[in-house]
Amino acid sequence: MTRGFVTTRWSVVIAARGGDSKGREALSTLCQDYWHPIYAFIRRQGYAAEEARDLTQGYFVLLLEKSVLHDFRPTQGRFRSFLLASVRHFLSDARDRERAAKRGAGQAAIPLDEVVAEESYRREPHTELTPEEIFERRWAFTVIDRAVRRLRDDSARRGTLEQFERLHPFLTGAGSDSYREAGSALGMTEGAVKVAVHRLRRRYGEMLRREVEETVVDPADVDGEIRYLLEVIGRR
Amino acid sequence: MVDQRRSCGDCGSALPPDTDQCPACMLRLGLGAPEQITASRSSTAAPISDVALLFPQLEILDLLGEGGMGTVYRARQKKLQRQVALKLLSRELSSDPAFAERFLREAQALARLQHPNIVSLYDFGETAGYYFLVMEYVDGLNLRQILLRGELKPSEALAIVPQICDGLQYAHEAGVIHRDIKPENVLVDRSGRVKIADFGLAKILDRAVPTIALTGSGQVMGTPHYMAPEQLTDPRHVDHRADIYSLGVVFYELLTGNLPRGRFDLPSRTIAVDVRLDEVVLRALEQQPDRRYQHASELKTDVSSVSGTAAAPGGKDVEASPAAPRWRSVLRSFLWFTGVWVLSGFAFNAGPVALAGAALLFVAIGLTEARRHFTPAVKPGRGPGHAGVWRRALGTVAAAALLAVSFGLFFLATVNRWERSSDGYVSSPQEPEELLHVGEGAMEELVARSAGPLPESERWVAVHDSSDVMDWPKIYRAGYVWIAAALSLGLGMLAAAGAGGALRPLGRLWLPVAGVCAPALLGLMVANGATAIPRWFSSPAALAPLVSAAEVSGEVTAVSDRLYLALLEAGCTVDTRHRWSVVLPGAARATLGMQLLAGQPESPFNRWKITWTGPRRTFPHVVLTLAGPAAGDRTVVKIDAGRSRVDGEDRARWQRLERDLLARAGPSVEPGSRP
Repeated sequence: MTRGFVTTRWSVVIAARGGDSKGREALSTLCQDYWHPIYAFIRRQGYAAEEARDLTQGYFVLLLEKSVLHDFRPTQGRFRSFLLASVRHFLSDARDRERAAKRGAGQAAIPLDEVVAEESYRREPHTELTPEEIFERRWAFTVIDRAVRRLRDDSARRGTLEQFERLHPFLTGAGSDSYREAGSALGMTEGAVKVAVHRLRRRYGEMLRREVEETVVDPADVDGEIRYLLEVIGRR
Repeated sequence: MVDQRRSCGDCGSALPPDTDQCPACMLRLGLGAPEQITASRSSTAAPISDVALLFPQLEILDLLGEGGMGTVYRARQKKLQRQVALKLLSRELSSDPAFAERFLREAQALARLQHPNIVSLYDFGETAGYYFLVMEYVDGLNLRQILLRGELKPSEALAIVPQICDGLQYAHEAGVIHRDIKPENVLVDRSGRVKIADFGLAKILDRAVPTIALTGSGQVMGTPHYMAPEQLTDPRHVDHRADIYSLGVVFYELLTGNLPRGRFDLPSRTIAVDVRLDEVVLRALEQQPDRRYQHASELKTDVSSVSGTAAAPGGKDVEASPAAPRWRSVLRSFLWFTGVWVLSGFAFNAGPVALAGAALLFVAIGLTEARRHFTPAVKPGRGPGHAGVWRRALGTVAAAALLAVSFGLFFLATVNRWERSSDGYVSSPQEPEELLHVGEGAMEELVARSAGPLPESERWVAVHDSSDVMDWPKIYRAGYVWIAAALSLGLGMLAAAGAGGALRPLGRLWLPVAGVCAPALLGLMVANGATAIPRWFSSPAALAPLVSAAEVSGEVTAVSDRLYLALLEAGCTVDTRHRWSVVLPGAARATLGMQLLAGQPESPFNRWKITWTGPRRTFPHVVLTLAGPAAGDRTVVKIDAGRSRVDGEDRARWQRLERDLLARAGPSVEPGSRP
């Protein structure tokens, strides 16, 4: 199973609320991808790094073990809202926390890359942000990150990995190279680079939408979700 | 460590520390369909919560989409509880100083477009730097989405295109050009009705040519495939025929699924459609505007004729522009009323009335034709709105002309005689001095003269020509002219209503009135010759034409028993084949007069009139055919209603006279018997 290319639609999870293995697997994959925001949220609640890691782990264990989804109202429709609501509930419940801490210390339900998570958490200028805001910001970054990863994997499959590595900064014009420089490095004309960047952008856009689509029930919500995340990013 | 205060070079938002790529820009790349991705700078991207603050009167429901020109939200008007589409134009536009003025001008023109096939503009304005349009919300799909589904049948395409034509034709007549007809801008709601969206928006955005941009420099991506050639070469001087070209492209795409690029296949080669459609599509796609269809309505006509009947298959047909059926119905009622008028004129033998009606009829038909030919086209180089103004002006002028003509006809038909009857009696210029005048004396004269041989010049005459008997001034004075004048006025108003002038409200008001009047007129016609006439119709005004008509048929209409006796006594033969004594309730209360109607010096025939004055409700006219004492002498005598009542001493005198007459006639003569 190649990570990042499994169709793990949030809707599959919802559909499998009863808890069949397919739904559980889908949820597990989703959690794996989106635990950074959870970690940041818990961290921002005032827990130390170690504690936060355990709590995050414990939360996922609970989520995957118990059918928390039963309480889920599909009207919410978004994985993001669901996670935030349930982790908040999780933290506020002291007994759950205790139990989770116990469990989390023992087994790792999700392989967490705590170092990276902690680093990116520390880098956030989070002093003025609420835990919820942190959560949502990290969420937006995760979405982008995963979309880029999808694009990268996709490029690898198409055999244009080198092009991707060279050109992905042009997705937003963040690159320091000019098209010409990139072109000479890739053995392409400037015009060809432009076209390639244009295509890359389009493909990236599709990847992003596909990524977001997995976290909503109704595909028609994709635009709304992206818009929401844009707003989250814009808040400061 | 990276500088914490870096910001994105494209959109200006702050960059998070752990990446070089602006997350906002990265997210925006995922918005909208790939070909609609806008450069980050021009994105308006206002979140729903912000928009809700800007528009307290609206409940913003969700985001419908974002395109190059702005963002569209679905919203609900709180008071009206109706759904609308709110379009926020890109904020950048407000930096263009000419924009505000252009926006206002164009939006006002668009707000005037009210058509079932055009998305209505409800409101527009500017708030907090956002220019916005509030439009009709269409619950359905656009043609692009329908095309992408790939289930469009040719018959459905043939049902859609005429509706687009209708919307376009209407807008073109109002002087508005769309400039950006493409599948994305044509919506089909759940009931299958086609609605053209974003009318004139291209003009507002001053986007004569779509710019194809790969990179973000505030430019917008668009597609030139639907643009007429002249839109690319000379975008400032594009006329409505550019829309027809674009419609041709859409039509081709609807039929074949492809764009007519390069050497494209004819539709009938690609799919199973009528070969004649090739002709239609090719003509819409002519490179030269002059060789294309000149009006969307022509395209519609051809499409409809190809698809068999006027109703396109599968689809509900197509209401024509709302003006058309109304015009037709107005014309129909107009023709009907004038027809009634002409017929009734003839039935009453009221020649001029009939002629006037006929003249009006011809004028109306002429105007209808003229209107068809003058239906203004949106001409190249002419600014928006001119055509509409021109059409309205033409309609008003036509209505005024119609009114003038109808009044003129009545003037000609009546007034030259009218002025001769100043005091209620005919006073012919040739009237000899010694002729009798109205009043009791007249009766005495009649009796006296009839008793002996008449002088040659005063022989009673036989009337040969029915028109001689007609007493037009009397008829008009009696009130018929007012009915006719009211009719002409009403019909003129009807014409005005049809022509769409300033008189339209009056025309509308007239419709129910005319609806009552026309059956009444018909009733009068039917009542002509009937014996039982309702009381209202026995007023002089209503009966005058009936009597005239009776005269023409050569029948003696009525005679009073007492008068009959008196005339017998005077030595006259009275033809009383038809009696109508019911309308002469009492000759005793009437005065008789006698008058020469028209003296003809060179002719031995003179026409006399016996004038009879009585209470208003008694019979106003009596026409007698009298045979004079000399062999072969016959005359028609008309007894008419006078003006003055007889009472007091006059009344006593009249009664005396009557008694004398009766005494002379002798008791042996029974009233009402034949001679």
